[in-house]
Amino acid sequence: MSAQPPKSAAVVLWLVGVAAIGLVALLRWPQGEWLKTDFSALLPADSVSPWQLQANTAAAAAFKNQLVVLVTGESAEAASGFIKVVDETLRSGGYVQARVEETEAGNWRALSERLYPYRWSLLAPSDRVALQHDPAANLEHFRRLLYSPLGGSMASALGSDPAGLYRNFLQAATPAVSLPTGTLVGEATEVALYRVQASAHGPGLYTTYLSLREQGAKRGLTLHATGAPLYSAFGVLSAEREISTIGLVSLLVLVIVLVAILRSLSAILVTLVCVSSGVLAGWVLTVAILQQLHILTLVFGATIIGIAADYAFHYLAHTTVGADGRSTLARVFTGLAAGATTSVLAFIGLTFLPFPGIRQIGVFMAAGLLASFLTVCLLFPVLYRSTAANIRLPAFCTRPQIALPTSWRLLLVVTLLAIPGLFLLEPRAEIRDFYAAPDNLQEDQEAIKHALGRAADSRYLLVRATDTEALLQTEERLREAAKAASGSSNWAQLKGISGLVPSAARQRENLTLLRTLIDGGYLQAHMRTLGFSDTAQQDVLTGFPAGFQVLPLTALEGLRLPLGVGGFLGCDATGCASWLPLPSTESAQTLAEVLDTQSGVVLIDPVADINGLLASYRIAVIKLLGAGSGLISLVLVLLLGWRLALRVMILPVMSCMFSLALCGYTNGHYSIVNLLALLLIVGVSLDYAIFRAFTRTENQPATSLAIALSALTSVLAFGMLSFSSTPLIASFGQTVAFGLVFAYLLSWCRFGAQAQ
Amino acid sequence: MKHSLILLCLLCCFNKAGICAEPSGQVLAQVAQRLVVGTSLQGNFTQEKHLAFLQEPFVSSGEFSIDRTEGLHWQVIEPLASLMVVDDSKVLLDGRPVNDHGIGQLMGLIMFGLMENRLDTVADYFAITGEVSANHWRLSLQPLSPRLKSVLQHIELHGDKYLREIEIFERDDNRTVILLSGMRTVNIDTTGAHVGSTP
Repeated sequence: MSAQPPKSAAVVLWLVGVAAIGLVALLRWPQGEWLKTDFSALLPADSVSPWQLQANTAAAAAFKNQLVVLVTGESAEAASGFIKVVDETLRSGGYVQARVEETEAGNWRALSERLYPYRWSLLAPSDRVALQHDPAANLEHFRRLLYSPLGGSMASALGSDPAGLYRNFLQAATPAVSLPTGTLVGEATEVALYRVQASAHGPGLYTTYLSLREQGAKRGLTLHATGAPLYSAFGVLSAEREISTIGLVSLLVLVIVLVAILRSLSAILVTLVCVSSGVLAGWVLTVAILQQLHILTLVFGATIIGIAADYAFHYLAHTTVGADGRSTLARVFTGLAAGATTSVLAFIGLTFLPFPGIRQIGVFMAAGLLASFLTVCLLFPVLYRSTAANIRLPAFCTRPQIALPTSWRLLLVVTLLAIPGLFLLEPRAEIRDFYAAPDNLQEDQEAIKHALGRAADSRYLLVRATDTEALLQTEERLREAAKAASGSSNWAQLKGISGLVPSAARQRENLTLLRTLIDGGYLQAHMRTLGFSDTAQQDVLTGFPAGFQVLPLTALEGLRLPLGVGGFLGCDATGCASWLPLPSTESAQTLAEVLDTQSGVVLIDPVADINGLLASYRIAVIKLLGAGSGLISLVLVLLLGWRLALRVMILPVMSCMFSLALCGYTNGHYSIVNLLALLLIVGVSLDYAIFRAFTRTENQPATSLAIALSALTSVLAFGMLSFSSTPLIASFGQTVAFGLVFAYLLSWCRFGAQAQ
Repeated sequence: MKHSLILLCLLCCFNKAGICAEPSGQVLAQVAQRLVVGTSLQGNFTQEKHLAFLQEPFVSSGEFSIDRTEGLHWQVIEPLASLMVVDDSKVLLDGRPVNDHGIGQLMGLIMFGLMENRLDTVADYFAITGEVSANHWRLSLQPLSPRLKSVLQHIELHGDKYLREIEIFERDDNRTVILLSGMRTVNIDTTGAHVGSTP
């Protein structure tokens, strides 16, 4: 290391680096919210067609902010009273503004007013069929309904809608509400549906929910709640707890280890500077470059403390009393640089994957480790000076590595033990593994599903056609086919934008039918029977349009469409598109048969799509691991020659294999998360192998100490992650911790001579 | 449009009834003492629907029967025959399921509550006030839930040993009066105990 800069220049260089990062942050810091908590922010956005992407967003919007609260108890009054408490608590906490039914009533009112001028062209499918066959009988049926006790709500609008046709049209467009069974028997139930404010997805919602549950229990009531915001709130809460726990424990372990072994305040301080530089650089550069940082990335980011400290340990373990810092750096630089380069390259490899969350981890860790490495190289020689009272190597560090033949034998035995574990491994791609879902939320979800008789379904139908008229006609054919295939079952009641705005052809047909009703005197006779005065009859009839005026799709512009009616996605050069929600979870299979006969309609299952995507990315990561290992091997071959390079690669490759085998024995499956963990194992374990390979025999005890300190802190940091309530993080932490334990043990085996 | 609001409000009326609550209030206790309790009730009805924009009310009449196993049967005879059947899980009009948004169930709740002397079921949904004299009682039912409140102003019930009159005041000044007559109770519980459960 002859080209080391003077000490003052090194400090200036480090400060310039800090200023550069500050400048980048100043220029590129996002204007809005940079910390993301929404899980969808972790998923790739460009993996599906633009229409599907738009439909995914629209369909997800129906669930994204929805919170369902169910209160049950013996007394309906108590349940009703407590739901008011829930209401007030959620409103005063700023989580919600109104119940969904309140906003939905407004949405329907606005829609009803917008469509009213076109009412003569709008008919419910059942009315159209009935009027075509026997108009008098249809009107008589309506009068029967009016005379029954059920006619109250119908009678209120009789003056403007004497045959109830517009009311029926709106009702047919309304998504079916499945009533809980046993209205006259059973326990009292109150249900409230809320739209949670986008700005209120923080952890407070989950703690509020827990507090409300407790309050309910004191009143003898059971509160259940479900919805994406609640899961999100729990995710944020557990992530925050885990960040602080992992960060704190990692730091505490670091300090204890440094005090016990290095026995130097300045050693502790420089290590903290090294670690802090890594964390800060990782955070600032990730936000500046990618414009966002997910809370889960921060959880992963907390583990940088363990890895960044490796560089500090390697430097500190090799300092000798009274030695110049530059000579210490010269001793460790090659190994340190090789280790940092391979780790940074491994993390940069992650940035090529299309998952925003994984990219963030890649940038965060690569930038952070680079900053820590540079801090060690530039600041440590200036800031740290060893004294006689400092480092005393523990006895185990002076032990020689396990001799050659024994090492190979041990490796063979462990490999043989690992092979069955590898055969037990099954690939798994399940997006639900990414969520933190505590038992109470899952139980609540089941209870609400049981009470309402339905569950949220993310699947939907995507309809495409050349223009809006063809699109609406395709939807109409689809809805009729579904209805015909199922009889009166609820699942077939497909709702779509064509339920609100029929095709022009259908509107013309409806208008003609109603003209026949008037020309034939049916409507007038009906009104007379009901007791309408001549003036009242005339008022109704003068509303009939002189000519056909089509209700265009653009009439809905500016309206917030009610939930459950799907929507129009727009038109571009390739055509137009719309989406229809599935009315029930049971409908998909039967609908699949209907879809075989309908061109331009596809059933979209976003969860299955994402799982498919995860599977394909798992294969991509396998390739990336192969390619990365090949590249690293090539660099090592060039540096060390093929024999030594091969021996160095034994450590990361076998560590990965053993860790995966343990996954096979414990879980029986592996996912993209385990493979991403392997990338980290490769990066860190390669450090161990390189440090060993690049250290002369007489300096191996210091390297043993550095590796031991590194392994201890890293295994603890990642081991802590395995206690995470988020399966994704727990699995990642477990795999890395196992891998690093193997890496540490293998680092004691000699598979060849050291590089000189 | 007012009717669409009502449609939506009714759409949301899907509460289960709580039947185990302890009824409160002296009035309910006094009414309960006067009611003839049985497992089945039959009678005649006349229904007048007064609409704000029509001078003459819609008048219909017919027979009804109510039975815990058979449910509520509401047979309109004049001017147009129809049969409404309400049981625990569904409402049928002339044999066909009707999405009535809870109206039939609400009616069943009141009718069963008064026949079986289980006024607690009604009290779960309404704040009840009233007057009781030797031969007559009147109950005024104010809806408790915001959803019901958005549709109904209140309901008036009149009776003696039977429920005799139901008057429903809707939000839009429409009013429905149902007069019940010719009541015949079977399986009368002479002990005065509640049928089916303990109060």
